[in-house]
Amino acid sequence: MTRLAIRADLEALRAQLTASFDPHQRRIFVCMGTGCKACGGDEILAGFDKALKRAKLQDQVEVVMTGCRGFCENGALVAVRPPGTLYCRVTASDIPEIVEKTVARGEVIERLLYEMPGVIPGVPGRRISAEEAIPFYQHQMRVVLGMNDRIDPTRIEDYIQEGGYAGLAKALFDMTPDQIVDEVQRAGLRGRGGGGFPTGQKWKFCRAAPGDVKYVICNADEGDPGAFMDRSLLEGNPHAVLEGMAIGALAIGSSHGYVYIRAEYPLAIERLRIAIDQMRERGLLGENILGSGFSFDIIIKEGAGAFVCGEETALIASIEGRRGMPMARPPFPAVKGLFGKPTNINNVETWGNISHIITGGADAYAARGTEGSKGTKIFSLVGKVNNTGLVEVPMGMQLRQLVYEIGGGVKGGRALKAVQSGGPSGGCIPASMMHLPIDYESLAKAGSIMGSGGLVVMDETTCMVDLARYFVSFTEKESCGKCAPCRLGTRQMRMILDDICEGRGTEQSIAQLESLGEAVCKGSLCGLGQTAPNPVLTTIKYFRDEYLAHVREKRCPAGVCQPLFVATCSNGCPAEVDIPAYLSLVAESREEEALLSHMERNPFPSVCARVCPHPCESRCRREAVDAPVAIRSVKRFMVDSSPPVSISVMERPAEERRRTAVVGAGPAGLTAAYFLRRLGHEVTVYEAMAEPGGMLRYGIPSYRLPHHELERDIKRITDIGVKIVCNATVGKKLSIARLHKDYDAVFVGSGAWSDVSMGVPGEDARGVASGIEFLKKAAQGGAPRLKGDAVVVGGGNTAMDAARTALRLGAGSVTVAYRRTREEMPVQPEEITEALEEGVKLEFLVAPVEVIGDGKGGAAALKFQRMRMGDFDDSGRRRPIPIEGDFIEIPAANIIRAIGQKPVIPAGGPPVSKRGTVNVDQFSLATEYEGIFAGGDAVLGPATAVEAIAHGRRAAEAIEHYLHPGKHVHFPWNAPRALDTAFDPAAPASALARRETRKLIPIKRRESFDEVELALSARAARAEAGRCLRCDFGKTIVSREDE
Amino acid sequence: MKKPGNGSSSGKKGNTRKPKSTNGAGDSSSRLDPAIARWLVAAVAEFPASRSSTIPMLQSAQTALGYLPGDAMRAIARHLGVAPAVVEGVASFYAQFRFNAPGKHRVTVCSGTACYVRGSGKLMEDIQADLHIAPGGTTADGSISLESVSCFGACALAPVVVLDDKVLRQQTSASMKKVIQELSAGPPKGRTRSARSAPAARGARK
Repeated sequence: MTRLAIRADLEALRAQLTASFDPHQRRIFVCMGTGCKACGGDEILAGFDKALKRAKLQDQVEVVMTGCRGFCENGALVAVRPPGTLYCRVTASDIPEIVEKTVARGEVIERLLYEMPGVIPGVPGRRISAEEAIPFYQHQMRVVLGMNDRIDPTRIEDYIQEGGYAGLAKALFDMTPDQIVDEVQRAGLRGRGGGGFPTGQKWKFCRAAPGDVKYVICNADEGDPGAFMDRSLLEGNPHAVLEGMAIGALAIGSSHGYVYIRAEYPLAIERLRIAIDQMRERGLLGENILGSGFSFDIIIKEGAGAFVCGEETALIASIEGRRGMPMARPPFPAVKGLFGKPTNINNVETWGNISHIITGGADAYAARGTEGSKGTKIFSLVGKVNNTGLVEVPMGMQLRQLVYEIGGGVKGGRALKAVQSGGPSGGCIPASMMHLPIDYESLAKAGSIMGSGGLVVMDETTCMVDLARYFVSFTEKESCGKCAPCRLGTRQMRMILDDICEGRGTEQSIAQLESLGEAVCKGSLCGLGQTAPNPVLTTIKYFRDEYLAHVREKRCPAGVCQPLFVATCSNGCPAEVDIPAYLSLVAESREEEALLSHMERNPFPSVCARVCPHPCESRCRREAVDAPVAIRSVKRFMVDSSPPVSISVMERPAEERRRTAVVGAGPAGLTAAYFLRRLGHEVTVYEAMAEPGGMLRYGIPSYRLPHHELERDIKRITDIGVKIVCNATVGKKLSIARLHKDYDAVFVGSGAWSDVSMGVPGEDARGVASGIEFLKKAAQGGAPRLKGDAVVVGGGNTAMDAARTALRLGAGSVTVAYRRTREEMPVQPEEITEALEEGVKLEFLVAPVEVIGDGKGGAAALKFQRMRMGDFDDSGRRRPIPIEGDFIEIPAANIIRAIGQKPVIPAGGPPVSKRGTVNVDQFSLATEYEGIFAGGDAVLGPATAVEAIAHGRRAAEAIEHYLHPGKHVHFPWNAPRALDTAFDPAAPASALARRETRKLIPIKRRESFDEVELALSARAARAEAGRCLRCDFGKTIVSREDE
Repeated sequence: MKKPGNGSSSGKKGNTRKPKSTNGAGDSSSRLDPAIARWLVAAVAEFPASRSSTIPMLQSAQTALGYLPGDAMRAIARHLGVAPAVVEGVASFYAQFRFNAPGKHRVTVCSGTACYVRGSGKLMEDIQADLHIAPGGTTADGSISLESVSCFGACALAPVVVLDDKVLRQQTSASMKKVIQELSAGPPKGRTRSARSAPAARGARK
């Protein structure tokens, strides 16, 4: 390696490298970041060399090892350019094929391309060939990371060829130190390590500080768990950081530099060593750099695993060979730092920005980003997101763009809950704030911080209390112990959080956390302690309900805090049915006991065995083995084959028995009635319709839920003495006030019967009907046979039920028209499949604009506006946007609208919200009127049966507390679990695959309202139940009865 | 704050990692363990006798010896001209340093946020149950040491386990059970429920 003695030597070398570079030569870029190395990068690199030699292509094709390209989850990554094809998850065995097809013939290997996350189960996502077309890269702006994917980090020539060290040369020969400082200041660069202090200002202080020996330090002690941008930059482009340091040293007047790097990053240390050696050999480090007279050298110091050493004064102490404890400032390191000399410390990414500012100029740099936050920022996007990895975006990008467009949304299509930024010093930003632009100010305003750039995405299965505990136990461990507020405060907070997570917390605990958190913020010496309470305070601020569920109900909604639930399936069930119990009983042919166990939580086993969207199955841990247990199918067998069971009613003295009334005989009302009756109270249910069941009878077609099955469930409820009065509409002759007077407590469980109109001209034409009214008529047997075609507007359960009902009633062609796409349809995927099998057509991205009449007062067609999918909203769904001037007409004599429903609250009922739902306390379901409770659709809007059932039991328990305040009765259904089914934890798990139920053949379905889904055989059901992994085995959970 | 001797008593609470004291035995280098003596000769030549050599010397000793015997720390103190407590005080502050001989293999579970959110907490519990040791411990046969680290920076591969120096991506209780079985070259001591019920490993290619 020849030494570059003067500036012209550098330029000459660059020109020579450029001239000898043939852009048309095919190159294979093998990612060799830590991530891809873990996926076999070394073998792949060696494999290519060998395979090319075998194919005699070694002279025409160059293999380049590069640094981290950021798309680590898809590693090992290999790019072939030209044409610019990116292969994901490459293994050594793929190499011969890549060489033979892509390298030799330019063919693309489909199976190795990036696959977009599939949203519909069973339907694979689209595959993308070109690197830049992959959404993960498409929306990024890779400036600092720009060279990572095309240079070999162990070759200084690659960096020089790409324009490297031009910034240093410019700073050395064309600028004065003051001009350099000025340029950085004008660029508006702020510290990327977390604090966000203006870099130029920091340099100015250090430059102005008196002293002939000064130090510059690169802080590469990237201790934030969940962040790895510094590692990737150092591994992929170490020269960018080192060049920045040299420029900084020149500006400040320093000739000694240190890189303080974590020992946990061996590869980054190795690449840094190589880079520094090559700089020395080339004369870019050492005495008289490029003949300018400026001398500078860099020493690597390895950290020894202490998070607090990311703090500047602690870092200095560590380099000096002491315990890494922070010191009070002032004096600031700029005045009195390392070995008592003026010292300037910047983070890796900050240094990585410097050469871009010097070569491109401050103005060009400041053109990116926002008013207060300039340039780009690297984030590590990790957690429950589809595309995890390292991304670089301009400051000010909205969080939702990062999570949904670049990140590809939440894994498994689950709901986003929050994004955590800034590591243990940061906070949690809830899903409702995803419109937040990412810059220093906005994040601080939300209670979080930019931090070094870790973004951890969390979904509904992350418990926020547990997460707060995780962070506090981290800071507790990492607290250096010097000041008491941090040392003792973090410990106390962690202990309180332990209490909450283990079921010992009270509401007092939450208040204690808040006051303690504030005290630790105010009283701690350094940044670690001052920010340690942030994760606790922000989760309390945005997720107080989750804390309350832990302390009031001893319930962990996310299913993380082990002592608070039996198994994740039960935890995912709104009614909290003990699923492992009934599965294991069915496996032992004990259906009757299984049914009784089910009845302790949910009195609608027949109904739920047919129409429940089974959230339990999506939480089943067996999914990680092969597929979730078919819980609902086992339940169907259990309830179909169990003999009738008798439910006992609590014996209570007469003075404790009360009179209660329930409005509405739907799932919420009847469940409340059932549990109130079991507590020994008298219950009368008032139902407006001729038969009980509510939505279950009139809203769900009988091909999904036969009426006799519903009646089986209702009979068990009336058998224990619940009185149902039908044809009694509350709110008319029978007023709420009257019920309130005659009864000791009232539960309002009315349904969401009111439909939302489309609001388009011509909607009053004959043939236009409301979906829910249409279903009601059909259920009563009063719907006439349909003539002509039908179109159903909407994408929910009602829309799909109405479409399939219309088909059975003789409609010619039935089309369901929805304004978004199939992926966003709220209806269960299996129902879409069934509807398609029966011949229902689907039309997506259309919104109704006009009903076209037939001239005789009837409808002839529905005119739609075509839509396209626009940007993401906070919920992660793309917003449909009209395509100007693009309309279609669907001819139909029958137009059924099913675009939304609202609850019907009896006149004189409790106050409602703007959405038309009753205002209640979410824990007790008490309304604003004393003694009146409400639940189900009345509170939730149109929801599922199992959610209504869950409300029914919750209300019954709350009503009992209301009727006998201060007197504690043990709810019989909360008795300690006594399950005696056999289980051998040492035996291997059942190897059988999931059994799906059979369905009626589609032709037969269209002819009648016969049930579509068929039951499993006894053998199949028992085998399926035996697939349960028994996550509940040996577990003791906190009793909810202890007050 | 630089008072020698204060080092190991102040600061980090809970002296669970306090180095073992050997009461001055082996004070003279002639009685040093040969491995320590060999390392010392090289180290004294490499590192200047300045206090900022403390951590690099400790790291060099640990790399050479696998952990930090009391004699090695005292030797460092002599070389730097400070009290042994100063060196021990620094060593006990940093998580990197071990004061007991590690097992033949080191299994390090990452407990960083990304790994935690993707289930490293449960993973660690299951590994502990399989090995019958707590983090920081070594199995009775000396074959495996279990450790945890706050973040490896391989967050996109969460949850990550590092076996010796090899990064293992997206580990599950079942896949780790296999890894451990292979390491201890024989069936594990007892089958435990938690690991049995855990999801089995999926291929690297999903």
